[in-house]
Amino acid sequence: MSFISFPFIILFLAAMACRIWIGPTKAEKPYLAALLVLSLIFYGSFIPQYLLLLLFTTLVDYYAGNQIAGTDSHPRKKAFLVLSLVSNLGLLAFFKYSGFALDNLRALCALLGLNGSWVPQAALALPIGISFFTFQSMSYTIDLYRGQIKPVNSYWRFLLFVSFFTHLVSGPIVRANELLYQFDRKRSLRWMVSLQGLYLMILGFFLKMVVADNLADYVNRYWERGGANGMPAAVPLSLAVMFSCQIFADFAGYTSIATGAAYLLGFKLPVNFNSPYIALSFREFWTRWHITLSRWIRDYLYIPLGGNKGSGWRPYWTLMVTMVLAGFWHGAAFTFLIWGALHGFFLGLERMAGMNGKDKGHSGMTVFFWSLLTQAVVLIGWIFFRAKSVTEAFHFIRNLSNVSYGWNTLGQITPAFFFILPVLLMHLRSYCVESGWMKSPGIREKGLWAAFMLYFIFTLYGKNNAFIYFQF
Amino acid sequence: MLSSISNSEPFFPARRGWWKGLLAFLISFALIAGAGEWVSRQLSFEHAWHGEQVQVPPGGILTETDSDQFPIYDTLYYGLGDAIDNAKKADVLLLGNSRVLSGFREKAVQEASARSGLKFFNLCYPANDGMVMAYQTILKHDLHPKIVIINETNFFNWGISPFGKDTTSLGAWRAWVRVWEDRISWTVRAQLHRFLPRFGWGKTYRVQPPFQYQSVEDGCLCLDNQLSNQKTYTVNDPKLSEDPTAEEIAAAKMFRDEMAKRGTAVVLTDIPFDREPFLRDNENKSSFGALMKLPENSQPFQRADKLAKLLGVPLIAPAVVGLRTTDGSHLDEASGDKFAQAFFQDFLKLSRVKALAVQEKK
Repeated sequence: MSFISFPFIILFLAAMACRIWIGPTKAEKPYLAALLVLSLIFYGSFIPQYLLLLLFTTLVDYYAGNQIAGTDSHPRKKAFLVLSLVSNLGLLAFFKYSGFALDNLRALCALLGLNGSWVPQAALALPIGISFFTFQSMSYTIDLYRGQIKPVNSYWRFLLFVSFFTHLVSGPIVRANELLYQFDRKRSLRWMVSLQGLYLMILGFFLKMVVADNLADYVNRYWERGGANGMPAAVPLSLAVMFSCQIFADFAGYTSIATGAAYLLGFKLPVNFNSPYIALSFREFWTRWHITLSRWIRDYLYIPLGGNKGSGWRPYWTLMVTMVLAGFWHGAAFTFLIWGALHGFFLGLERMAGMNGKDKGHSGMTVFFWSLLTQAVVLIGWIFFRAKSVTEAFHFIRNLSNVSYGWNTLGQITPAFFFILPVLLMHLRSYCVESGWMKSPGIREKGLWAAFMLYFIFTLYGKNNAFIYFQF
Repeated sequence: MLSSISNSEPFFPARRGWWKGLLAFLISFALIAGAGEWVSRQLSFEHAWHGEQVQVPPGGILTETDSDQFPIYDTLYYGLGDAIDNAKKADVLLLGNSRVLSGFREKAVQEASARSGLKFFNLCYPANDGMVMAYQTILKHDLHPKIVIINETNFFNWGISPFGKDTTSLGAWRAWVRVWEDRISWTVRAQLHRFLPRFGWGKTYRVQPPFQYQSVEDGCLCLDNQLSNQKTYTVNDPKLSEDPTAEEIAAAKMFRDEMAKRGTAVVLTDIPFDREPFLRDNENKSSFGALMKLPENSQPFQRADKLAKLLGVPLIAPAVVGLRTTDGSHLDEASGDKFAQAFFQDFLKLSRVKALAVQEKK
C-alpha cells in the first residue's frame, strides 16, 4: 500500500495503538512482533506472492550472516558472502533487468536482420521496493564479513529490520548498525517526540500530495510537448524545473513520512535529503540528495572498486563505473545509464579541476559559477531521468536552445509554477540557516507551518500519483 | 549543520515547551480554515468544491473517474462486483474506447433495450487500448454475447494503455484494494469538503469535481458533470484517414473469427469526433471550457467502411447533424443521445437483431 492511501492510515494507526498499549518502551517483544506482522501486511498488500521473495532474501542473508560470523575460515566467509550477493543480485537481475536484456536482444536481432521472435517477453511485475530491500539485506552480510557488526540472534528481528514498513519500499536505505540496536533500546513516547514525528509526517504529506502530485499533473500531461518540434525553450525549461521540483518533493516527501512515522513508533531513520538544490558542487549534491544511497554506493561499491586510490585515470574510471551503476540501479533503461554517466563525468571533471570542495583556494565568483553549472547539469540529468527514451531526452534538450516565442503551451502550464514555490522557499530558508543568517524554525514556527501545510493537504491535494521511486 | 528541509530536522528536541507548538498549530489552523472558508464562500469563489455529491444511482456505482481510470479497468478485467455478471447476461456488448461511453449513454441504451427486449452492456475500456482489453475480458470471463457493437476508431490493434498494462500485470488482489480505496476516498473526501473546501488551482470545479458514474447494470454512463451550457465552437471539417493497415485488417479478422466461434455477430460503428484537431497532438485540450460543434457533414471514416466490407459485417454510422463534443473527442449528453437514437434506429432494423428481439420477447 502507498503512504497516500486510507489502508496506510489504518495500518499506521494500528501500529500507533500497539506503541501506546503494548510497546510503551518500544522494546517489548509483542510490540516488535506486531510491527513485523503489520510490515508484512504492508508489503503483502502490493502483490501477496512477492512476500515469498522478501522471506527468501532475508532467510538466505540471515543464514549466510550466521555462517560468516560463526567461522574463522576466510574462504568459508567469502563463500557465504558470495552466496548472499548472488542471491540478492540474482533476484534484482531477474526481476528488474531481464526485461531490459530481452528487449535489447530482440532489438539486436532486428538490427542484424535475424528473427527475434524466439526471445521471450518479460511479463512479471517488478516487486515493489526490490532495489531497496536487497541493498539493505546485502549490506548486513557485507558488514558482517568486514567484521563491522555482530550477527543478529533472531531471524524475526532480522526480518523486521529489512521489512519495517516505514523504509521498506523506498528507503532510506538503513544499515544494520543503525536500526538493529534500536530494537533493544527503551524509549518512552513523549509529547515533544510525538509532535516532531507528526511534523515530519505533515511535511512529507504536504510535499507529496500538494507539491509533487500537482506538479505531476502538469508534467505528465505536457512533458511530451517539451520535445516537440519547434517548441520554444521556455517550455522544456519550465517542464524540467517542474520535474526537478516534483521528484524532490515526491522522494523527500516519502522519506519525511517514513522518518516521521518511524519516529512516532520509536525509531530513528537516517537523514536522506538535505536541500540538494543549494549544493555548490556535484560532490556536495550527492551528500544532500538520496544520502543513504550515496553512502551505500560509496562504501560498498566505490571504495571496494578502488575509490580514490590508484594513479592516473584509475580514480576517474572508478567514479564513472560507480555512477553508471548507480544510474542503472534506478532503472533498466539507457536513459538512467546516461543520467549516471553524466553525473560520473562531471564528478570526475570537478575532481580534476579541484572544485569538489577540498581545494579552498577558489574565488567566490568561480564557486558561484561552478554551483550554477552543477545545478544546470543536475537539471539536464533530470530530463534523462524522466524521458521515456534517449531520443525523447535529446529532442527535449535540443529545444532548450530554441529561443523563439510561443505562449500557447507555456500559458497552459503557468499555474504549476505556484507549486514550485514551497520547494524554492524551503531551499532558500535552508540556505539562510546554513549561512547563519537565520535560525532553524523553533517549536512555535513549526506549529504555524504545520497548520498551513495541513490545511493545504486537505484543500489542495493533487491527483493521487504513485511515488516515483516505487518503480525502483 | 543540518538545515530545515525534508527529514533533515534535528532530532531529540528539547523536552519542554511542546504545548507552545501545539497551541501555535491549533490557533493557526483555525485562522487559516476560517479565512479559507470565507474566501471560498463569501467571495463566490467558483473554483472550490464544498462536498456536494449527487445521489448514487440505483444499482450502485461502477466507478467515478475523478482520479484515474484504474477502477474501471480493475472492475471489468477482474470481474469485481456485479458488473461482469451483468455483462454475461447481456445480448449485446458495446466495445471501444471512451467515446463509446459518451456516445451510448444509459438513457438511449435503455430506450433501445425497452424497444427490442435485448440486454445491452457497455464494456468499453476508456483509454486507447485497441482491442486487447476487450478481447482478454471476453476470453477471461467467457462471455458469449449474441452481438458486439464495436466503435472502429483505433480498436483493431494490439496497443495497450498504461492503465491496461498496469491492471493486467498487478493481479486481482491489488485491483480489489484499488477499487475499494477509490470508493472510500470518494466518500471520505465528500464529507471532508463539507468543512474544508477543495480548491482547484488551475482547475475548474463548477460546484462538483469532474466525475462519471457508470451503472453496474449496463455499464453505461448514467451520470456525469461534464460541460454543459458552455460557449460553442464549430470545428474543422474532418479529413478522411488512410486505408486500414494490413495489421489492422489481420487483427480485425482474428477478432471477428473469435467472435464467430462464440456465436457472436459483429457490428461496426464510427462515433463522430473532432478528428482534425484531436489528431493534432490534442492541442485543443486547452479549450476544455467550450463545447465544440462537429461539422454538419460528419461522415464515417473511409477506413471504417472499408473494414466493414472486408470483414463482411454491417457498419452503422449515421450522419447526424448538430453534434457537439465537450473536448473535441467526446459527445456531450444531448449529442450522445441524438447519435445513439439514430444508431439504434438502424441497428434494430438489422435482420439478425430483429430475429433476436423476437426470441427475447417470446
